[in-house]
Amino acid sequence: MVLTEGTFMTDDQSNMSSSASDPVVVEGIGGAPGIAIGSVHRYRLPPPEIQQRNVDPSDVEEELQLFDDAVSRAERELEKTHALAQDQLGEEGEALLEAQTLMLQDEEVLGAVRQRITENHESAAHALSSVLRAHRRRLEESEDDYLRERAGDLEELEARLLQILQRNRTVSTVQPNAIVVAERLTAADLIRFHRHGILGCVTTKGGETSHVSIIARALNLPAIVGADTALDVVANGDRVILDGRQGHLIVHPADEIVESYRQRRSRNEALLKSKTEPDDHPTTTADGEVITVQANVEFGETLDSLGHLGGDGIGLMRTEMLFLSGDEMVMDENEQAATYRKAAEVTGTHGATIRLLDLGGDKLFSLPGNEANPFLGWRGIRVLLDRPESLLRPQLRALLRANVHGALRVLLPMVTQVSEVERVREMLAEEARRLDTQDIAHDADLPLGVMVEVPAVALQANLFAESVDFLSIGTNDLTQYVLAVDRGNDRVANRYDALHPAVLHLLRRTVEAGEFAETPVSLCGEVASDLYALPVLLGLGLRRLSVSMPSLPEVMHAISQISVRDAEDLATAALSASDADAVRRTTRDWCRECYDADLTMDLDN
Amino acid sequence: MIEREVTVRNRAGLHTRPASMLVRTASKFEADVFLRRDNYEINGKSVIGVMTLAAEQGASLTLMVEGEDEEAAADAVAELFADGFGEEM
Repeated sequence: MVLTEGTFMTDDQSNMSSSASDPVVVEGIGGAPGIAIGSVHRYRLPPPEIQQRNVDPSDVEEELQLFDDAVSRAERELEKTHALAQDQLGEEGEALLEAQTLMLQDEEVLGAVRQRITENHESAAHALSSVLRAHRRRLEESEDDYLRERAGDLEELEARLLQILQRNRTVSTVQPNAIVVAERLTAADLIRFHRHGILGCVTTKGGETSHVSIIARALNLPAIVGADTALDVVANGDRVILDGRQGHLIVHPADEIVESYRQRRSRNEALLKSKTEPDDHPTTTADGEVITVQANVEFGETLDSLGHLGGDGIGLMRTEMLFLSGDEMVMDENEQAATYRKAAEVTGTHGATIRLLDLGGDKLFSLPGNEANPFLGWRGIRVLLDRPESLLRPQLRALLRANVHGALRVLLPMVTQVSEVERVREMLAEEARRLDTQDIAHDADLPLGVMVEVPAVALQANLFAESVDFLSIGTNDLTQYVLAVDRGNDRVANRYDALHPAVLHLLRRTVEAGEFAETPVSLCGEVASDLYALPVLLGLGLRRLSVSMPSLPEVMHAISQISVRDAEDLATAALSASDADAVRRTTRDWCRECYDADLTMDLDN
Repeated sequence: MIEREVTVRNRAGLHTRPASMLVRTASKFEADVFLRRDNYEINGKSVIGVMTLAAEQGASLTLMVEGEDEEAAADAVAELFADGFGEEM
């Protein structure tokens, strides 16, 4: 087997790519656009038994630190769960959480682990497992059924700590020029890898992973998802090209292929740069309509690059990661205010739309028993209104405070009725008054809008357009609800298409309602960065789009080539088409005529 | 040093919640608190230790307390047992 790159690491699967240097193309789904050229790092969590047992004596200090870090991280995570779940846990859940916390403070046991690390040079994970195993055995031997089951509490503690230890250790071995290939990646994995400077990522699973694409886009990290065979084909250190738009992973590419991708990459970078001039003109269509193109952002840390990307501010800033990133308890009002302030400052007069926490209750609270239908369950505004003190009011206060530094807008997720908006509006006013009396600087001029993502809102768009300051169509969820398709479910995901005529009818209805009430309507789903879909959206009357940061330059470039007049005919045809495939066929032909060679090359090769 | 016999009275035994209560109570005192079952002795301030006593309803344990406030500590812990940790007995 021939390996040309120097970062090869031993891996028991490496012999699978035995026909080594022949180029192979693995096909997946484009997760986040961009081209990365680097060497493979296969990522998987090793099962506990094949973990490293010992460490070098010179690394003992580091190992102790790793262990103590893991313990305090686990404590913080528990604290966070507890703070959020207080009134939700019930007596038994509360007791379990408390016991888990006490276990993490159990000096008797922690001391024994530290001793094994120090004296026997055991790895933290191995020492922990040995110490806990002995304790667990005593419980397992109990004759009392109930007590025997308590061994599970110790298993949970062990799993919790091992996971943190492995996570921290595995990530730290990644080379900065790596392209990570994994079965699946959690949001937290991806953020951690990103901090280590990886160039891109590939996952083999398509189900449950659409969050990988969303986060990768937000981080400006090229990504492929659903590349089933990737792990069978690549070995650690293999040279690969990752094409995140096409969803192609090219293994062992020939030099001339690498060269052509390098050229494409520099062309894209040049395109990006041309859009970053400070006196950016507004984006206009070929026939002179001004289109507002905003960015979707995910984290505070991606805000820094926004100033250099052009665009008209932030159309959607998700706040879920503030609550889930697991590093710090960012849900604290002050820290939220600091993040929102940054968003306000980098966007200036364009402003930023911040969406309130949009999570299923199950992600925040340890709910007894899972919901049978989380998508139809306790999520978004429903959770927020049920938890005003711990979630909703602190977030509103943070937004009111940050609004002093710019022009923020508040977006409510998962709304289904106008009364929900009214309740939030009342609370917003109450919090503004409270900040007044406390003499804390704030700006109550905070437009309030709703996501149009549940069909009910699109159908009552007239009513909503009269009651809110703006509407933001979230096509990702809207499409799932309209077509009854979970796009995270591999078996049905191919039925998901935001260009389905039924979805387009709801978009049209919403746009018309907005025009009538003079309420701005924007669209922030992934379909807005689908270059084939763009003319349909503009033809339907949409004039505000919010797309992921890496797609911004391309989308602006494409818009400048579309004539809205012509696109209106295309949209009319799309509305009367029978299904999404028919819409796609029509729009594809249309785009080939309309777009210049640069864009069609990206679309078709 | 004080030694007392205590009996687990609550039906569910010395499971997670009582173990937490015991540790929290014991930790309020300066004195060292130990519990012994047969030949197995554990630190009463270690929740994992207390759990591994695997003490079911009816189990009898020896409570050993030593330190300046041993009297008060022994009383407080023994009371928890007598009270069945506030659970069904």
